[in-house]
Amino acid sequence: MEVAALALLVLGVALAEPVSRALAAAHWPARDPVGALLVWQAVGLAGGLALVGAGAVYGLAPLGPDLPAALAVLATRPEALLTVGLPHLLGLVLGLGLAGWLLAVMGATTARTLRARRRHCDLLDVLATPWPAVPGAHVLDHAMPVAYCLPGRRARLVLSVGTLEALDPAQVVAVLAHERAHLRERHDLVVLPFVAWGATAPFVPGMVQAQVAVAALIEMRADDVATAHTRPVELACALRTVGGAVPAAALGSFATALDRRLARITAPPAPLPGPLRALVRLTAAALVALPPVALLVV
Amino acid sequence: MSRRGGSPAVHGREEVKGVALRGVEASAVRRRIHGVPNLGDLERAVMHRLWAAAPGWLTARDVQEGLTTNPATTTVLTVLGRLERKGLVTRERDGRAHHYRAVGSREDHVAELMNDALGTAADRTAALARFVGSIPPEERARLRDLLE
Repeated sequence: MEVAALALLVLGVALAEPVSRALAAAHWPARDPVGALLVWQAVGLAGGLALVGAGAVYGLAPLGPDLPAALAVLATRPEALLTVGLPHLLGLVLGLGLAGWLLAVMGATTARTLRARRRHCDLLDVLATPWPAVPGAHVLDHAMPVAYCLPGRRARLVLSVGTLEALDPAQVVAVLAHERAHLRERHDLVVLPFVAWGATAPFVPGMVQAQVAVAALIEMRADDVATAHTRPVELACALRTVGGAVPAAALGSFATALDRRLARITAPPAPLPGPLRALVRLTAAALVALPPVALLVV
Repeated sequence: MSRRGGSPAVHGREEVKGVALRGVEASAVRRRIHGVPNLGDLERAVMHRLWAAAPGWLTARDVQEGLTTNPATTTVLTVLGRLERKGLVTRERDGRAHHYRAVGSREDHVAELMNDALGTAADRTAALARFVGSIPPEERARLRDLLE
């Protein structure tokens, strides 16, 4: 069982750092955003499982030849846990502590997100005007161009008067299509774990890179959906107008990200060929299967 | 011009400018079209009434008299209760009468919405998805400095 623990530890550390960095720097995700998002979810899930599993497996190693056997011993004689020795006990505490921390951070971020959304929605209800021609859309009376959506049970699409004045109708349609893609595919749930763990572990570079990469990928995906409905030039114009007017346009990293998106919309890279797309999805599935197989079989 | 049908964008855009600028009046127009007054319209109208009277306090009857749609007093009380639970209205008891006042000005609340919308709020969540994309967390502080 020590071998399985070591393998899980190596896998967990590899996914958290070199694999995340390589995936964040790779060029192919722009050619298959959905596949890349699946791989990121798999990396996050497998990484967490592997590190937690490594601690648990190492901690229980003295009790049996594999995890099911060790757990069976523990179920019949709980006091056996005291005989494993200090290093193994420490491993177990670290593994379970990590699991508890990951879940607590997720829970706290989810609660904070829901609270922020409810507050935002309550304010929208009294300040924004429903737009009868576009179901679910609301107009905020403000001269600065903003466009966003509020996901969740009370989902809202919000445009400001400034946006409606700056864009022509075809561009507004492109913006709405982009935001609807976020809502329909629940991109908020896709980014939630990365936002949660990226915010609480800024000292792990892989986690921060993952957060930035996943945020860029959901925008690529929503752009792809929008350009399937409208001409790419409308989306690009809308993005240039709304993006150029926000205060964040003065930030170097934001401007770079915006330029990359504009370049991808106007000159889209060739999508990955079918077999490669299948390979990407298989890799994601294999990654998720790896830690449980190591836990139960090895 | 029919208010429905046709291209939503072309139509909607013309319509929405009027709606946004005329606020409460437009809600009344829409009610005539759809026939049913809805709670959202009423909440908006009540808040506008309270904001107009701020910093003064109003009774439910004062609020009711200021509304063009003549809702029942119980309806106004229900709406005020909902707004109070949402933290948008505060209530004070003076003898037998309850007096209501808006919490914060309209401008304060619009500023709060815009902070969320522009990604300048300190909040570290992904509560909403912006068309222009998210602002990297380490840039939030710089962005707030820029705006001050």
